[in-house]
Amino acid sequence: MSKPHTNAHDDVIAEWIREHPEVWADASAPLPPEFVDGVVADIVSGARMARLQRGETRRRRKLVATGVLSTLIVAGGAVGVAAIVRSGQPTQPTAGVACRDDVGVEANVIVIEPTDDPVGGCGALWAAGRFDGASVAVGVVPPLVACISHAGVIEVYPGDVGTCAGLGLADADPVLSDENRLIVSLQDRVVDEINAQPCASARVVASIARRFVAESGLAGWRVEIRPDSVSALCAKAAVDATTQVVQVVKFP
Amino acid sequence: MADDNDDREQVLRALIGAHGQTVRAVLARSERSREDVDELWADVFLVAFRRVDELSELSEGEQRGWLIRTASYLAANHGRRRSSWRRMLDRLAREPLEQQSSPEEAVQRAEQRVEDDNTSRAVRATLNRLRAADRRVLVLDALGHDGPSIGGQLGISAGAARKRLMVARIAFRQQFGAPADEPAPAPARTKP
Repeated sequence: MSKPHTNAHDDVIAEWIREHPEVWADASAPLPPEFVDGVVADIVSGARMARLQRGETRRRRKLVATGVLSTLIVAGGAVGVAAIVRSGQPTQPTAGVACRDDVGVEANVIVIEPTDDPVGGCGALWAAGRFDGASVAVGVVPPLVACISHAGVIEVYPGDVGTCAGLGLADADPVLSDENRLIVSLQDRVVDEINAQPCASARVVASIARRFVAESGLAGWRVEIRPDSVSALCAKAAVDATTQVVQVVKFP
Repeated sequence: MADDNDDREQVLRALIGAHGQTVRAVLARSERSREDVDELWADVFLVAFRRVDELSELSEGEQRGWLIRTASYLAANHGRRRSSWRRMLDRLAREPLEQQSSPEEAVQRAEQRVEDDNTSRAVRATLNRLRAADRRVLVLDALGHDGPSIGGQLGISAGAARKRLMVARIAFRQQFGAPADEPAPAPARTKP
């Protein structure tokens, strides 16, 4: 057996590695457990598949990492309320803003967190060149318009005053209503003070969530523990604006 | 057979634990954006979850082969519009596993042949004895990453990455053929 000591032998080593995929894992750093947990929850809950079926896949990492339970509920809950919404207010204010790179539901989408300035928030993505496959040059911000989707979510399209009507959608109001602002604030507290924190039991999470609801200024909201999660030692919470429920679910 | 969602989740986690880093290495070969790698990685395991019952019946090597093929295919087709992407995932979730033949299968057969080769065993032993950092840079290089790309993976400059690769190659040469690496004598072969 010859001892590799030349560039040719470096090639032999590289070839050996290419022929042995069982060592390829060494090229990658260990996967962070919280990343794996987030993806597994996204897949197992059906939320990822639901987004694919709606033509949405790209999401900001924070939504995946800490807001995943809210999007999970949106994915399931929106199905039941997918009536045509003609209001200028979103019925899913906590779902964030879907920034699309083209007109129509087939367009690529990046979801940003709820904001009072959806056009400005999506414009920042365009300016940063995040829609590199779009029809305008990278970094150019086209005219944008905010609509309310059939599922009650704010969607921002490249277009003008007639774009929403052309899609059969309502123009979004310039700002969120007072109630929707309170719902967004409630979700922010749930994400930051429950979901982004270390695990707590379902009962503890429900207790915290009840306090948040009581302090939110919202009327008619309640907290529920999903039946399969009652004894969970690790639970998170999701805000569902359509049913006015904060649901506690086991995690992951 | 995984027969409820908890079991299916456990199988998915086992697949990720065994092959998650390998899939990531495959995707990183062709994708520059970490966000894109994250999304593709999740889509690979989304398809795997839809076929988890079938995959749980395969050997670890067969699972790895299928995941590598799926990752390579998705990476090669990244950039399709969302609608055709969804249809592609649906097709991958339905396609019979045995029909997805690719050069990876040839690789697996080659892998089996070289297993008996002394040099192959010595290379494996030497790699195992290297520091993890040296092994990582050698594998990245073998998978086609250049200096800037290796630097990007390791969070260092391209120049530092090339230097680290040189150090790793020297370490490999120094370790290779050391007494502890001497392979066991090849079994005597008899003609049929």
